Amino acid sequence: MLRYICIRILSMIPILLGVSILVFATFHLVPGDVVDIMMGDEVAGDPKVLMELRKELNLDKPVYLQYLYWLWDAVRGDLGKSFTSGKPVMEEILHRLPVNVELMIIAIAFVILIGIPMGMLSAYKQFSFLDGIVRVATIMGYSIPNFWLATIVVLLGSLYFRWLPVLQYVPFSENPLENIKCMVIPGFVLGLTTLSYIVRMTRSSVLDTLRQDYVRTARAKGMTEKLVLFVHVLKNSLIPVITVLGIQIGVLIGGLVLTEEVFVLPGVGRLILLAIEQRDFMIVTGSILFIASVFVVINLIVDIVYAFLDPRITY
Amino acid sequence: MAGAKRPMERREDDRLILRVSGLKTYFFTTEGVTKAVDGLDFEVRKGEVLGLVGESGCGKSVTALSILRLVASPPGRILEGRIEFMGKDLLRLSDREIRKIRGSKISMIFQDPLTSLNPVLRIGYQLSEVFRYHKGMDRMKSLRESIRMLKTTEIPSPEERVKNYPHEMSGGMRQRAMIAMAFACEPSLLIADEPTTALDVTVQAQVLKLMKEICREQETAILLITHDMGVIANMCQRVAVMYAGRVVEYTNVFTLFSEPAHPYTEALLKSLPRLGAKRTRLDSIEGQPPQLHRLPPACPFEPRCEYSAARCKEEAPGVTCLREGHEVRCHYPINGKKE
Ligand SMILES: Nc1ncnc2c1ncn2[C@@H]1O[C@H](COP(=O)(O)OP(=O)(O)OP(=O)(O)O)[C@@H](O)[C@H]1O
Ligand code: SF4
Ligand SMILES: [Mg+2]
Repeated sequence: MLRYICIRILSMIPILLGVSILVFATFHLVPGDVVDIMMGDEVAGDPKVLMELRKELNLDKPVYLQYLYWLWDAVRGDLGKSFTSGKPVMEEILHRLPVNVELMIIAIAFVILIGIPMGMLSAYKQFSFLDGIVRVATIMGYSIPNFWLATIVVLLGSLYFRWLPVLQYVPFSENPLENIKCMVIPGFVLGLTTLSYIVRMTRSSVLDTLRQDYVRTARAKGMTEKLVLFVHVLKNSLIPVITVLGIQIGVLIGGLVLTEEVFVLPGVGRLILLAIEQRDFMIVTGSILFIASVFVVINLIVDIVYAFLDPRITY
Repeated sequence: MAGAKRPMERREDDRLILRVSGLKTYFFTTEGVTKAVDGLDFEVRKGEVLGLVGESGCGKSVTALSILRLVASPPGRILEGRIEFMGKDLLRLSDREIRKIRGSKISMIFQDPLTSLNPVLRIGYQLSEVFRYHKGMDRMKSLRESIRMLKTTEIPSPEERVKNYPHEMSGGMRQRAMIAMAFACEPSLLIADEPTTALDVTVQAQVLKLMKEICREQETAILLITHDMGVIANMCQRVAVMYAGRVVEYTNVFTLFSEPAHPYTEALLKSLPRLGAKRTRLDSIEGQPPQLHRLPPACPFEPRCEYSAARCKEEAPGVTCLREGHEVRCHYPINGKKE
């Protein structure tokens, strides 16, 4: 197992390199260079200042050296400085990251703590009234578009009924209770599609597992239904669910930008949106590299969990 | 058949372990009702090996599952009949009571040991479950017992094997582990549903020998389900031949081979390769296997029977007792020894 984990960690390196090359290439695919873009249509500034800036960004060196310098900085956690605020990009990201982490944790908690038990129950009581309700609810859950639901929740909730704090973000460090109050609903909205998907997935996976020969063996050994379900069925039926969950985490990350925007939460998504508007190139590329790396790491974790669940995985 | 008469014997025969009488298990599917088991009778006595033979789909596995009430429901349902095990009707027990019997007094071995073992749990865990559940042992003690049990099935280095997952073992070893599991609580009855069909020919013989030995030691009776007449000849004392959910002939193993009385039994034996040939599986006999939801009204074997007469189309044959311990369900049983 340890060997497998090491190999998987090492295999991340080429993936991350690929990602970094892609991100770096965006610098050079645009006409002109970063400094031109930054300046946009504005009257060109003092050529001397521009030269200085180009030098600072290593733009006067050959491309491969530029890449290596940039990569070396990135590895050390230096993603450059924002053109607009002048602060290090890393600092800007880390400053807003707690919002995203919290949203993700809430969304995933809903998915795992509600989705998996609900799917199991639905499968175990197949064709019951409860199963019917769950089916209708999940179909609604993944056919309602996220942005629509988010907008409706904000409109109804904060403007008409006043049971949501009116789009007022409170940091966790200031007031944990208020913070959770204003994050739970955005987190739920973010996770809803995935939640519905995981319920359906768990249901069909449990149904499939219940039909397996080894479940019959467990019953023939005299196991109680509870033991059969939680010892023999659960672990097996989670294997495909974990795979889907791993893919869905990417979907969740994608949904962050929208959730932040609608609920006016100061996360990395809004940072990127704002940076695009202001042509703050360093922030855009830095954040994208950062998010891509996080995604690769999450995939690694999913793979390791998967290997723990399924001993048949060959390392 | 055996349950239909001899009410006197019921009290006398204290060697009787299992008596199935009038068992009906149907499947209610969208295509109609499949009468997988339709009025089945047989008995198993202490230490005896009863063979249950018949073509694929005649209801052997459903019979086995019905005894432990493991038939998938829906679509399956046991409609009527009695399954008396040591004097108690299993069909009338509560869920809790039948669970206490499963795996301890009656245990089961299935055809494919790979799919019958849980792929994500270690062999030791799956084995020790039986000890923990039925004997209330703790983790350590049950694991020690599991190793001891594996040792009796002649698995090499059982201390290592308990740490294995099923996919890390060979087919023969997996079936030995299943056998260890089945015999863990010294059951009175073992139901073995084609225990060697999925194994290599060489391993088959070893596994059968092992089953025979442990059974003799523990005085366990076996209900042995098989396609293989060679296995029947090797293992069984008595044989029940099944056709379309019923027993059509019920006799001891010598009579079965020397004087088969039912036309279906005769056809089965004819389809066997002659002595000395390696394979002795019954692959095909003339005609189509019966369709359980569209059976002929009278004798189900009639469309394929070479002795069929007018009466066979009109009246369902009852049970005829040719002599003590040899019963047949046919209007015109074949008599006289075969060459
Ligand atoms: N879960 C089920 N749903 C519907 N029909 C079933 C089910 N299980 C068994 N049957 C039907 O019951 C009949 C008897 O099946 P069974 O498995 O007992 O046959 P078998 O004698 O064991 O055959 P084989 O030698 O192939 O194992 C079959 O015709 C099958 O269609
Ligand atoms: S009853 Fe008639 S058709 Fe049926 S097996 Fe006997 S002889 Fe054949
Ligand atoms: Mg079968």
